[in-house]
Amino acid sequence: MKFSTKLTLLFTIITTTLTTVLLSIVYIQSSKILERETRLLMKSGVFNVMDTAARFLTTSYHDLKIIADDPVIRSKTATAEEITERLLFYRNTCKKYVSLSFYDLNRIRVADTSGLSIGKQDQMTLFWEETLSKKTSTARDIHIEEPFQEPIIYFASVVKNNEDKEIGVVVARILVNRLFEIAIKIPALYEAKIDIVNNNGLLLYSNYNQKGMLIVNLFEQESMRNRSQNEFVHNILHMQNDHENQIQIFYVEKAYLDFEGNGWTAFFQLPDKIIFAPVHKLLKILVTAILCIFPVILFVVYFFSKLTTRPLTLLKTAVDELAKGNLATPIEIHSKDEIGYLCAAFNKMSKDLIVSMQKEKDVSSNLENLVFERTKKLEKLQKGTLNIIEDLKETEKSLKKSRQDFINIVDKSIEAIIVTDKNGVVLYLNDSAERIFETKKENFIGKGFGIPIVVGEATEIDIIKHNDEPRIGEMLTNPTKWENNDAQLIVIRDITERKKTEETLKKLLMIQTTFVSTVSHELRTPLTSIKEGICIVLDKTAGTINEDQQKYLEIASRNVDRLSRLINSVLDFQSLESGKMKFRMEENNINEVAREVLETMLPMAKKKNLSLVCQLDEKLPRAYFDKDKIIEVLTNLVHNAIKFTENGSITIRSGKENNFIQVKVEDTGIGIKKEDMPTLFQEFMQLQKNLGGTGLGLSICKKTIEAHKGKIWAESEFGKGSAFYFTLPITETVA
Amino acid sequence: MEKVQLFILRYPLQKQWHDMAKRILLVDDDQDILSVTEYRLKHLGYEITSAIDAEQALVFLQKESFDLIILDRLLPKMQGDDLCKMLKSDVKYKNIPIILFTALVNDVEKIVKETGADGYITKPYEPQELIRKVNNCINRA
Repeated sequence: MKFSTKLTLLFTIITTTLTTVLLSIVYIQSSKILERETRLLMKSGVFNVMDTAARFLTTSYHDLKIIADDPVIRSKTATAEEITERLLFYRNTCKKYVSLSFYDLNRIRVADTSGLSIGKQDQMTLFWEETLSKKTSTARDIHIEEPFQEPIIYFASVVKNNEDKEIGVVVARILVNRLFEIAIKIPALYEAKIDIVNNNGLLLYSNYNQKGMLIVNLFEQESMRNRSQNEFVHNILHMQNDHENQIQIFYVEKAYLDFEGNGWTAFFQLPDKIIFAPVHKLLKILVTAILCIFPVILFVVYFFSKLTTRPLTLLKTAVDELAKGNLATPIEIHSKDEIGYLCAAFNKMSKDLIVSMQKEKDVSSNLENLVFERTKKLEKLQKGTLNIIEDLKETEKSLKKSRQDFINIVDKSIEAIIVTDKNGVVLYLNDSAERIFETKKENFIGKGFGIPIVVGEATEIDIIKHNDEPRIGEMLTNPTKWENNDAQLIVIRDITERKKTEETLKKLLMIQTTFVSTVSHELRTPLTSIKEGICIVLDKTAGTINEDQQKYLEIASRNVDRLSRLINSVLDFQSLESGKMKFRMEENNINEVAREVLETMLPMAKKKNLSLVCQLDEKLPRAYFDKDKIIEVLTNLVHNAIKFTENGSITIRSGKENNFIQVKVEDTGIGIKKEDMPTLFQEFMQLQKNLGGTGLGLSICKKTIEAHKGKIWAESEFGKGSAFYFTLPITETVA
Repeated sequence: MEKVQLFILRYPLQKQWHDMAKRILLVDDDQDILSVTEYRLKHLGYEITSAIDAEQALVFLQKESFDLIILDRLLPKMQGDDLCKMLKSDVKYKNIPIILFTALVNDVEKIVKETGADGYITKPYEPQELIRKVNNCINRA
């Protein structure tokens, strides 16, 4: 069922239930109130009626007493006409009496206002008996008199004369109808059915029931009489005749003053129809109104619910569309309630869905492409693999062959080669291993190697031979693979000879070191004495000396210096050669070195009339070198330059080449022959033996420069001069 | 090496010595070296005491105070280097400057550092070098 219909239905049910309940309540309450009111009204009405009737009757009763006391009527001598006149007088005064009569004691009507039945004897009835026996005023009764054909009430009173003797009876007649019409004047009870019944149950008066006055016995009086006469009894009796519900009230006439009362009962009946007519009318009006309005409201409600649930229908439509796959249906609802929020959320969701679906599409199309590419690649690979397999088969064959070759090589290797598994069990050994361990291959394979293995480090092992001196072996172990398992490759080299040589060398080196230091000391010490001795005299410290003394002492001094230099060269060469030379590597300025050398060598150059100049790059960075040693080098080069130049100049240049300082000593000397160039820097090579020197100079320079990680070389053309170059590194790391 | 007991005689006023001639202790096993060096130094105005080995040097040190020690490295019995180290670690003598007098010039800088000596002179030396170095060392103290 649609939601709007549900709402409408809900409304309908609620309204209907509510209306029904309310109406019922209204109806029931109204009915109750009305009933109560009606009863009250009827009660008072019935009471009033009977009360009025009773008073009326009482008044009549007293009237009759007065009439009976009338002097004329009381006199014995009154004639019938006089009595009649009197009676007429009274009758005209009280119009309620139909007629008045006077009877004598024999019940013969003497006088009558209507003039009827005069002289006739009245029948003996109950009231006669009562009247005559009591001799007082009596109650009256109702019976239908012939001429009137209507119920009449009789009042009788005994007339007494002056001597208090009964002379006759005065009778008054009242029409019952008349009586009760006067009594019944209750406007509210117009519709009430009133019955007045005597104590025999005979209907005396009825305002609706015209048949059978004094004939019809309406009610069962017994049940009535059982109830107290003073109580109102109301019960709803079902009228035998009419079959309708009604309220009935009866009231028994009471005695009034000295009037005994007749015991008449008044019955008031009011059918429910009439009582509840207003309520029913109200109900009818309400129901009609509701029924009229209801469709209108229903329509309105339906319309409104439709309006409210329109978003839901839209939502439903959109969802259906979504289910079909049609995504682009945004809902145009922007109310600020929950439904609006829902619609907004739905819109967002469908947007997101579109986006993610698009993404998915992209992803899937990407995937497809990828798959396609990969498949292609795989196909290529497959082809390639097949080719590879062919190649592999070829390779296998050649591998087998080469394996055999290698086995041969390894087998015949001088070094002992053993392969063990990771636990040290021997898997393979070559011929040399057989020899070293003095055991056959078959005996060793499968057994433990026996010697502790240090992987990656060379260890020395003693090989004890049976018939030979013990040998020393160097064992190197490296991890390897043997038939796809982890294994160890052990190589043992016989280093006995090497060890011997090493020992010898060590000894020699020790000897040499001692030798050097001893020689050094032993040569230099006497030299010091000689030099100082000469100097003391030359300085004239010990006294004056003559020219000849000076000359020859100077010769001696010069040669002492020369000898000193020689010894220095030899010792320097020795220490350079042995690698024991220690350099003091520091950052120094090469230009300072150049200038120092210049200063030192200038005198020597001057002697040969040669110019000695520096051309130095002042922006040179400092370089890393041993200053003293480089001074020596440069001094040596300049010294050589001076030695081999007869005229001209020697130039010291400094500059920067890449990461090195370059120094150039250029001369205009005799130059160097091509054939001499290769051996120029070799020790003990002298180009001109006679010019002195040890022949170690250039060799020392080379070793020094090379120890500085620099380079030294010469460029020359015989006859045109030479240029000697050396470089020194700028940065420490190079050195 | 025999352990040598050192007796220290403290003179109350060391300042007195500033006015007097500086005293140099020469230690070398070569007589000729001692002779020529002594001669040279005497002419510079110093008072020289010579010892031929470490033992004798120590004896002199105990008796007298010196402003400079010139110490040959290669000595019989205790070596010059060891003596130098010893003296430098002795609180009584460590303030006396020591110059190593040596033919072994290869790591001389390192040796000077190791022994704690205050300088060195090579054999053979230029006379000016000797004068200069001695003056420097002696005046530093």
